[in-house]
Formats: sequence, structure tokens, C-alpha cells
Amino acid sequence: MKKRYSTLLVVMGIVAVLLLVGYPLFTQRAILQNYTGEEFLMDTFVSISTYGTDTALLREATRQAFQEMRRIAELTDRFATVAPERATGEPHNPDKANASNKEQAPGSEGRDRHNADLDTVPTGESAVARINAMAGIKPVRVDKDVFTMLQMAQEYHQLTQGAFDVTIGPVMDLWGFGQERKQVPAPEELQAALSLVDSKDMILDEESQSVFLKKKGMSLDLGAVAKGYAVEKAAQILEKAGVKQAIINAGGNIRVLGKKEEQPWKVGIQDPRNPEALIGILSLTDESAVTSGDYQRVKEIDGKSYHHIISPLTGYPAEENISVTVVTPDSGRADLLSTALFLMEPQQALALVEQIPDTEMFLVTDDKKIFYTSGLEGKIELTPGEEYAYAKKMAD
Amino acid sequence: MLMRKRWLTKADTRLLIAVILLSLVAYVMIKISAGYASAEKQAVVEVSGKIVRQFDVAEDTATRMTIRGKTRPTTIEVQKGRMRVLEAFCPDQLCVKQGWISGPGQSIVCVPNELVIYFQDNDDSGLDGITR
Repeated sequence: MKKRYSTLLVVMGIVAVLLLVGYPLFTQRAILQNYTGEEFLMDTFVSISTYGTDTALLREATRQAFQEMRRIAELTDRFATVAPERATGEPHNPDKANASNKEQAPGSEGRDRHNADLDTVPTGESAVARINAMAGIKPVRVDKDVFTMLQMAQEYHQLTQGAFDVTIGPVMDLWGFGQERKQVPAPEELQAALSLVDSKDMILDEESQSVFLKKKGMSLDLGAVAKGYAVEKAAQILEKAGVKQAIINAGGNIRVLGKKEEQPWKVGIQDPRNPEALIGILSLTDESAVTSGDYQRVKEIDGKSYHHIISPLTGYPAEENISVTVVTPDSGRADLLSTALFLMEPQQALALVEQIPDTEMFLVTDDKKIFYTSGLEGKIELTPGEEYAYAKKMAD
Repeated sequence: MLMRKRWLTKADTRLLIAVILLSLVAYVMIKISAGYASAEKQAVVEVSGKIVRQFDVAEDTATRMTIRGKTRPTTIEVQKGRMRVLEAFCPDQLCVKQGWISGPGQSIVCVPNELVIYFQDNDDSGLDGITR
């Protein structure tokens, strides 16, 4: 009897030891540390949340990611002030600008001298503001990031047959989004501004990496591109620094790295007519989700509300859709596409998104019909309120 | 009856099973009670990236508070497990227009005042973000 009793004790002892040793091993992924940084950037609230075992690494990676986002924000701020134009023939990189010249490829100085009519962006100045100030005057050599964004914008100007246009600046100025102005532009004013909107008059020269707006008064507005691009750059920096799990949220512009503890990240899609509700929940891994909605930035003028997604074809807020969410790996593309598709007729938008690889869309029309691409099947949990109806799902 | 020396008798086995079952039940109960404890929502108010207020919100919590934002004060109202920005001194009034929020993961941001309010997400199965 005694012997059996002791056997039992031994067995229980072994079980206890196994539990003690095994539990921490089993739950090791729970020891994952989280480091979150938050900053106000590009007119929005940006949070970068990273996960890993090395907090110092997470903190440093997050710091670098924010630094990169600030740089992109600075380059693309179109309301920034610009130093006066340099006279033609004057050396292009006097004192301060010399610092930035060192970062350029060897031999670029020779090329600069060759292109005497090329303007450059002084260090710390906004490239977009400079391009706008030089509209109709001379091309501006810009850094690789600005050039890449504008190339992407021009590509989608063609693909959307003009429904998306990054040279919308003059029209945006009339509506005064981002400024205090509060009146509906007069039709004649809008027509005059619209005559200055055309991406075909934005000349991108790959060899000199320069941008030229042909007509005086033209201006770029990177509102639909820069935020997503900056988020994508931040994600790349985190990845390079060795971060494997992270979520970047720039005012609803979302990019995830890896998975969250072996499960995809769960990202809700805001119900466009009820801020308390979600219309769907996405499961994301190594990709981005960006939404353009008519409820995001609204101006009330004489009792009527106008949203900020202005059609470059009409000059007025686009009214076919109320919310368009794009899911694709690259956050810059997701940002641009969500605006571009928002500006199109639903059927055209579906047809276009079909041609783009690895890209899915969730679209809500003005009459509350929901369209989504079949690639979202299994990746989305649908939670719309009763007022929404599903339109025919599209085949891939 | 011949008593063979067995490593574990039936009674031992039963006891062992009972102990294991008991611990499992205890584990599940602890998990559930922990779940209940975190079901009470926690509201967080941040200004310029720093937490300035943090408080529990129950169904019957009803309060208003004025927070000093980066530039101007902002008034927040909490009621019936929800909260909103009641009054803010900013040009667009986007934070006021956004209305009520009630769930974890939801937030209201006032950019000019660098103010953010949100409900803390204590639940592992919750959302990681909202695209809007």
C-alpha cells in the first residue's frame, strides 16, 4: 500500500515538473514584446506597432520608420514655402544643397551642368511645392521617391482614362480642402481650374529624373498617393531592420507585416454610414488595406455637405460610390487605387481592378450595393447592416 | 483475492484522472473569469502621443471631461458605454462630426489638437485596426 502511494507521488511529481518546464516552452510566443510608436504626420494620426523578442531592435526600427515617413511628408507637402527660383546658368548646388548632392550618384554633377535648365530641390524643401512653383518655368530634378510616386500616378491616369489625376491641385485649391476656404466654387472658376488639370502635361524625364508641369498655374496634389507611399516605405524599413510582425495604421491606411502570432491580422472595414459599425472584417498577411470614403473629410457649405474626393473630370465630388477599400501588398498602390477606383463607375472599377494582379476591392455604391472581388472570398467576414444589398459578385 | 503489485491501481487511475479534470476545470474557469474582468472597457485619452487619461467605462458611466489638447481644450462625453467628442475648437470639426464610438479598436482623432480617444482592446480575438 505504502509503495503504491509513493509511486503515485512520483508520477504526480513528474507531471508537475513536466508542466513547469513545458508551460513556458509551450507559450514562448506569448513572451513576444510589443513596441508601439505614435505620431501626428501628414494630417493624420500614425501608429506603428511592432512585435518581436528584442525591444531595443523594435524601438530603433520604429524610430527609423517614422523618420522615413517624416521625410516623405516633407517632400510632398504642397503648402510648404519655396525658396525663390535660381537664375538659369547659376550653379545648381550652392552651399547648403551641396550636402544633398553628395548622396547623388557619382557623375551626376556633370549631368547637372549639362542640363543648365534644370532646377533642383534644396535640402529640406518640399519637392512638390517646388515643382508647382516651377510650373511653366522649368523642370525640377527630384529624388527617387517623388519620381516613383509621380510615375505611378501617371500610370493610373492612363489606366483610369483620366478619372484619376494627380494634377488636380488647382481644383482642390478652389474647394479649399486643407485650407479654411468655405464656399462652393463658381462653375466658371471650376472650368478655368479644370483646364489646368491634365497629367499629359506633366512631363516625367526618366534620364534626368525631373518633373515639368508645362502650363503655368498647374499644380500637383499628392493627397491620394503620399500617405500610402510613406506607409509602404516605413514597412520596408521595419522589414529591413529585422521586424517580422508589425501593423502600421496611418488614419485608417493599414499595412501589416507578417502575421499576428500565427494568425492573420484582423482589420475591420468601417461602415460608411455608421461610425460605430463595421461592414466587414479582413484577414491580412503581409499586405495593405486602404479605404477611400465620402465620409472622411467633409465640408459643410450652406447646409449641404461636400466630400474631398473631387473628380478631375467634373470638378465636383464624385457621387457614384460611398466607400472603396483596396487590398494589395503595396500600400502606396492601395492608397492611390482606392481613390482612383472611387472616382470610377462601379462596373468600370471592377473591370479595372480585375486586370491588376494581387489586388482585391470592396466597394459600396451610393445606393448601398456592395461589390467585391472574388479574391476576397475566405479573406473577409461580412458584417454589413441590413440596409446594404449585395450586387452580383464578380468572377476573377 | 490475489493482490498483484500493479504500478497504478484502478483507484489511483481514478484519482489521477480526477486531479487532471479538476485542474482543467480550474484552468477554464480562471480563463473565463479573466475574460469577464476585461470585458469592462477601458477608455484612453492621448494628447501628442502621451496618455493623459485612462478610465473604466461601464454601461452606467456617464461623464463629461474637458481635456487640454495641444492648442485648445476639447470636451469628451461618455454615456451608455460609448463616448464622443462633444465640443472641440478646430476648423473642420471632423472629430465632433464622427459621433459616438463604442467598441475596442475604434478611435476618434482630432488632428489640430493632437488628441486621440479610443477604447482599449483587452481581448485577444479583437481587431488589430480599422480601415476607413
